[in-house]
Amino acid sequence: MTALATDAFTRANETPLASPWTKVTSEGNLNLTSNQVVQASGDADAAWWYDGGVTWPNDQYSQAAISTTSTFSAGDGPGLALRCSNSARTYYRLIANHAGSNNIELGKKVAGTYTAIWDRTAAYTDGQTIYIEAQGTTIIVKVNGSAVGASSTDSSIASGRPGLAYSGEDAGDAGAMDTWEGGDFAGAGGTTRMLATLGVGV
Amino acid sequence: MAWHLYLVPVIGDGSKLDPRRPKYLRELGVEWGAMDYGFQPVMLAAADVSDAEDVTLTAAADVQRIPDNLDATIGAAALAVVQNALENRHLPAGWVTNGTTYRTLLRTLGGFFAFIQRYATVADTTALLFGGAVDLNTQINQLSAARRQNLRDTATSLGLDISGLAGTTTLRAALKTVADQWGQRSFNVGGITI
Repeated sequence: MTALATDAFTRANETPLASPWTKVTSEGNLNLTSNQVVQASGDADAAWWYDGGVTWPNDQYSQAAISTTSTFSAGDGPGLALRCSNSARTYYRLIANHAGSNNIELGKKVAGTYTAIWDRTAAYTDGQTIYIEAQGTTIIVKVNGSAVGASSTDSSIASGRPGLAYSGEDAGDAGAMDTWEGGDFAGAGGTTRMLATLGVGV
Repeated sequence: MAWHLYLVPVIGDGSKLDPRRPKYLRELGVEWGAMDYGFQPVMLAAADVSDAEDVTLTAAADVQRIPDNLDATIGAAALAVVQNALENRHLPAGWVTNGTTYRTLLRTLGGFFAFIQRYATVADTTALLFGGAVDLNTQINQLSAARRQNLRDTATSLGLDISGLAGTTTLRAALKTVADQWGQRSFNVGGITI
């Protein structure tokens, strides 16, 4: 894993989130408030990707520390985006909340239509990191460094950019995202390939 | 609780309050996972359910329960049931025989699903490929030029060779051709490795 971009959000408030962040077409807004990223309105979907001049590879990951002040319903809360399109309302989305069961949801938005891929349960403490990676058609999700169930397979979205997502519920539910990082796997893969070329087993 | 596989209808309009999802499963409150056939209204789903919940799901008229032993052959008694279940959902089934194992069947479905999933993204549309006048027996040259181009672009996006397909090739044959190239890839649905 190699980090290609990071953002600690330690700066003045931005309403909405400003460059190098870019909103996915037709999605809702995110704001930077008190050094964290929060939803801009109660009942809306939001997905933003990190530009910053990075050429994002197809195989990529996105991770951030999250916190939620309420349980939310299944599929609602703060989260991550992956393989965001820069021209269509299309991306993978990982959402987390503090519900007692099925509090983690993986899904995808294709041409503006959301499809849930799975619901699973994985408790976390506010401030811990959630993580999503896509390599080829394989998607892996982690919470605080531990895999949330087995990998899953989806072929819908081949490329795009990593970022943040939010599925808002109402004004009474709130969550925040902080310390974001996006990256790729080229470093480790390159090392493996180089060692293999040299005949060194790894 | 145990994981089982089902072929289920899709519910939900894909909006924020009503996401597309496999019928019955999210509402059970159990862990589940699913693979969609693009925007066609069917999913291959797995759920971690109790025996009673499994019985209820299996009894639903619009659910097809997949046997737990994926290496069992379909056999003569179930062949027609399996073929009809697939064809009714616009999934080619003429290639399925008595001796086909459920694992081979599902891995081939994985190829169909992968192609139609990518088609929706390449075409940037939620419009169904199958439905109305278009079915598995529709020839490629009976589709609009835009749809033909989207199908070509989908194959390119997945690295598949469609040079052997002609205008008179049916969608049934075209899907089987791309699924054969996709190969018998292992994949996970929920807690089940296929």
